[in-house]
Amino acid sequence: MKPAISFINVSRYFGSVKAVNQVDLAIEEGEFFAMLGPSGSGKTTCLRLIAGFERPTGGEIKILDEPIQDIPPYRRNVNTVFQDYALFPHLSVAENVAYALMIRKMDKKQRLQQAEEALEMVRLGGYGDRRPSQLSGGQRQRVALARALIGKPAVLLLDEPLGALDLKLREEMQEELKQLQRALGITFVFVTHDQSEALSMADRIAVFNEGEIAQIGTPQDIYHRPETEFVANFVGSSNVLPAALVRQMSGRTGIASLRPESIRVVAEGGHTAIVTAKSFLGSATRLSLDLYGAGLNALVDNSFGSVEIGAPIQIDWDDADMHLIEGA
Amino acid sequence: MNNSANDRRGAVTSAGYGLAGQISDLFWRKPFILLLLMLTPPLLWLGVVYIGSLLALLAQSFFSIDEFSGLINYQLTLKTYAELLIPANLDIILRTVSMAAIVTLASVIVAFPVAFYAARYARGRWKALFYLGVMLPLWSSYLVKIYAWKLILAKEGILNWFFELTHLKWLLDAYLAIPLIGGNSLSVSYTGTFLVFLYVWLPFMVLPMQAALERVPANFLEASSDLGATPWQTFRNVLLPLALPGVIAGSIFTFSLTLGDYIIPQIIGSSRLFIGQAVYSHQGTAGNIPLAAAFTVVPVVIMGFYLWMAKRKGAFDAL
Repeated sequence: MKPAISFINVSRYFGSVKAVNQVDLAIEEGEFFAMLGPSGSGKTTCLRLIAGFERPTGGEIKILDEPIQDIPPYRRNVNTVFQDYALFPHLSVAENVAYALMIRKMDKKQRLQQAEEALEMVRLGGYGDRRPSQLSGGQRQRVALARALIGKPAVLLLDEPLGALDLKLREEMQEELKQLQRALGITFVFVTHDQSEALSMADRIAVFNEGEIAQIGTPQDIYHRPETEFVANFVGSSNVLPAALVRQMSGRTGIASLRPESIRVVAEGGHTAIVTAKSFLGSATRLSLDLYGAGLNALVDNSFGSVEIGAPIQIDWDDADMHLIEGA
Repeated sequence: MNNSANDRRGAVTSAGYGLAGQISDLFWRKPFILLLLMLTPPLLWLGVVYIGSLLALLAQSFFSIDEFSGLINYQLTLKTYAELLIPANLDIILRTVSMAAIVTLASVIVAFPVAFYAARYARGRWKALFYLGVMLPLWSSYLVKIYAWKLILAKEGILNWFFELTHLKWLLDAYLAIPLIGGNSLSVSYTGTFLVFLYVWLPFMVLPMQAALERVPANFLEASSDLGATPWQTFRNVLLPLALPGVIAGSIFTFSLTLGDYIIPQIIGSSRLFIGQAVYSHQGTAGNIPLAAAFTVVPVVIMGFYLWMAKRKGAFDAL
């Protein structure tokens, strides 16, 4: 099977800033792919390279095995949902959704009917006559989605699509987006800085750092087996144990990551750590610990009883949960 | 008791303010007084002096002139307006309106790329240079500029010299031989009048257009392109509709300024009259104030109609 999108040694420099630096990437057809990273890590530039708003400084980009770096955005069968939606304020909701069809010179009645169908798909049937300014953030988001999908693109690009929504709405939309992607079978490429969003929605994730891909893998891979210290820190605020501590604990060499929820409080026989801070989160309690001079975060269930700040506590974890970070 | 209350007061409010401070306090408590003070002078100026004289003018246009005595007959009549419709006067109106329309259209075409560049690409020093370039002509005297153009366009002028130098004089001659737009030389042709109008009013088109284009977010253009629109389609369907309020604002300037001007067609062009010149001669030497007033009403009506049409066509929907 040919990949929907492939990057072969792609770079994009802005003057001396290496926004994207020699990236290799293959996104499979029908995949829900997330590009995750902090701001300025190059993930959005990668998305803009696929859409055609930026041109690579070097390397080759292919969509369905066809080199496209010399093809302008309006000839690429790729559509984008913009971060702030970019709905045209002078057009009604239906005209916005039907824009791509209007450009293709479909007659008015037919295109407005298709727009209504697309709006029904995102549960906004009957909203066609309104102006974008009369809709809420979540509704605009769905209009942007309908507008990008109406032309049946090979790939849908989403640039931080949920960033402007409040928490509850965001969780709803995550579910909706996943269902939509499964139903349509279109390749979704999704840019986000929110690791929980990427973990919950994506089939695979590329973690970006300073213009390069730090790791590509399934959410489970990324979460449980981070390959670099950056990934371990960025995804799920893991504990990174220094090499000295790792040797002392397990006899292995190198630094290791340990997830906060892998740490248990035991009655006896564990390692002795000092509690430096604690906060009650409702379903669990977060403890900050000092273990032989290294700071640790632990997420423990509330059954361990009470503990005073400054008091010693016995902690333990399964050796398998301590993941040795390669290349460190 | 009283004393301690005063002490406390000093702790909460800032102490020791003079008359100016008391006046600001009064304005804060009664914003209406401030509003009244700020609005009275401009309302007097605009409302009484300007609108008042406009109404007086309108009233004048309903009087007529006695052809024998040359005295004004103060009986209300539409006779003066009927006079506007005699061929010689209708010619003047048509000539002026056509010129204003062509000048406006040409300004839109010339100003758009300049405004677009300034709004989208120019930054820092280049933007300053843009403003300077557009505004600089406004700083020098209007008359000096027009006479400078006369020197450029005259038979002995720079343009003629340039065409001779490049052995393209035949091209200019062929152009000048075209009836209506041609003439003895560019400086006595409608083409000359048009060029000078275009030059003089261009800043009034560029600036509002640039302001409007600046307000169109870059990702609207990207979104349009993303949805399959070629640059031309994006221009037609997104950029132009969103910039239209600016274009209309600019065209109000170029259109009404051309309608009212009486100096440019007098210095550069054929000796045929424009509305401004007709008003000038009727209210001056001819002493026919009613007809001058009626002529003046024409641009007012045309501009009103133009704005009404623009609104109906949805030019201000994006505002």
